Amino acid sequence: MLSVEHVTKRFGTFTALEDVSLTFEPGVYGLVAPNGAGKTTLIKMLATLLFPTEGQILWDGEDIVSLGESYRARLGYLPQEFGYYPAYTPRQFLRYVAALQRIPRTVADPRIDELLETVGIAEVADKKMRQFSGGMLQRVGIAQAMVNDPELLILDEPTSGLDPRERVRFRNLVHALAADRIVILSTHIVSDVETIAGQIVMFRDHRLHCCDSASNICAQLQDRVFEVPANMALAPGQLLLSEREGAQGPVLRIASDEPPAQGTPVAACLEDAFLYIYRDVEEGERP
Amino acid sequence: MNDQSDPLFLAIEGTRPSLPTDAERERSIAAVLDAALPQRARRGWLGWPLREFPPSLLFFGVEDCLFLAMLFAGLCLAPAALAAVQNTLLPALLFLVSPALYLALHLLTTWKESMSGMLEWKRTCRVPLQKVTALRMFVFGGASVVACVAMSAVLWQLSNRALPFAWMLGVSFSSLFLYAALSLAVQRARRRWALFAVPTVWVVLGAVLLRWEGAATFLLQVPTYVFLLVAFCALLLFLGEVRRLATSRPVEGGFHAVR
Repeated sequence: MLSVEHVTKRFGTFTALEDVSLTFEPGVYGLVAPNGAGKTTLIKMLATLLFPTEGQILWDGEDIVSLGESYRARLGYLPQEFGYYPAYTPRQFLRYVAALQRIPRTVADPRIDELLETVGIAEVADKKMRQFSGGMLQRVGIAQAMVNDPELLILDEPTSGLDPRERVRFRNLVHALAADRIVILSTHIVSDVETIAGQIVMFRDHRLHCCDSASNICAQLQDRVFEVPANMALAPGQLLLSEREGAQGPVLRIASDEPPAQGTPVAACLEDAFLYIYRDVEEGERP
Repeated sequence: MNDQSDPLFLAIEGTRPSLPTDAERERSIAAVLDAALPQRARRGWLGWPLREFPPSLLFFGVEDCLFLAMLFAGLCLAPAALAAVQNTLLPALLFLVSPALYLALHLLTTWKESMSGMLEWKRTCRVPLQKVTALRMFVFGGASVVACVAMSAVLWQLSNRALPFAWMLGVSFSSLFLYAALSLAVQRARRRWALFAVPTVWVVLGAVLLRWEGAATFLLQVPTYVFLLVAFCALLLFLGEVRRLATSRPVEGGFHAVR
């Protein structure tokens, strides 16, 4: 079990995260927040790349920094900006990763074959990675994070740059991997986690806003989300969530305490909740 | 005896703490054993996990840097060779170019690793990144020693053995180990300038030696044993810095990070 206990992280006078407490058990957790909210800061602390200014992060009751190598042995990490060696093949690269994870070659080779099959790049396992698309490189990234069969898998913005088909493939893959391990998925694309994350973790004002199931979060907006024609002026108290192209023209998706005229009630989704919770956050402003 | 209906028995049983779980018991036993038993013997000088991480993977991803560094060192040898043939400025150039291979290996591999986007991820792997880097520095030092011996031999022949070979080796080794030790020591600062500080000093020092007409005379007056002593002390300092690097505790941002 991984627990974050009253963790605060400051960079000089700037507080990135304040008094965050969370507990992670096997399953998929989605860290969802706008850019600059502190997701990557928390991810990096979980990966021991940053250290808390206050508080502690514990694995089975022991501080992860003190555990050192024994914690890293349980960790699989895919960073947001994952580099690669263009001149190497996935198989060569994964062998290198296995060596960095202290996995003997006799154990690593069959595991690598299995991983290449799992992520769907077995046919190109011996082709140089300079020829790969973004989606294929991301799959190599997931494979390297799984080489040591980690108990804790941390994926930071793993679907950035992937096309819709790749994102669906990725979601299916994560779902399959999460059976008996902790998977923490950091993203600002809520649709990526809505279907696979058992718990959604949201930050606001550098503090933990909620850690709950998607359905419970969406319940905050139950009976408060409507679709109205695009030419309808919004009344005070009505919040524009998004626009879409309806069957009879563009429609607005709004949140309103009172049913609007010409409004059609719709079920709230996680994206609606995300836009509603972060409604005060301006573009580019740290929430 | 222990009549379970006896109120006194029930009162005693009620005050007993609950028994630990199997996991808690195992953790406690492990903690006691770790504290009581001597640590497992290190695997070699740097504790290197040879079985899982063979030296052949030490330069994974930076092989091109090795080739470029050798090319650079070869180019640096050219003016020294010319000086040897003409028997001018050889002592100063020998001192200046001896660390060329080490300098090139160090800077090129550091630059390549920082540009690869892999450094941060590598810090999350089991084998500590600082151990890999420390062993690389050690191997760079060893390769540079071989290069210095070869270079000194070539220059000695080209100069028609005008200078004592032992003296040339002393100059070369003292320069190499001084440079290597200082470049590792300065990086403790973890500032951006630290990577270029010693190369800059070396270039300035080289310029001074080349411009100063009395440089050759001055260097030639220094006995061989002084250079060898300096080389030995600098070697100890270098090995100490390599070991410090290998055994250093992780810091936020990693030892590559700058403040």
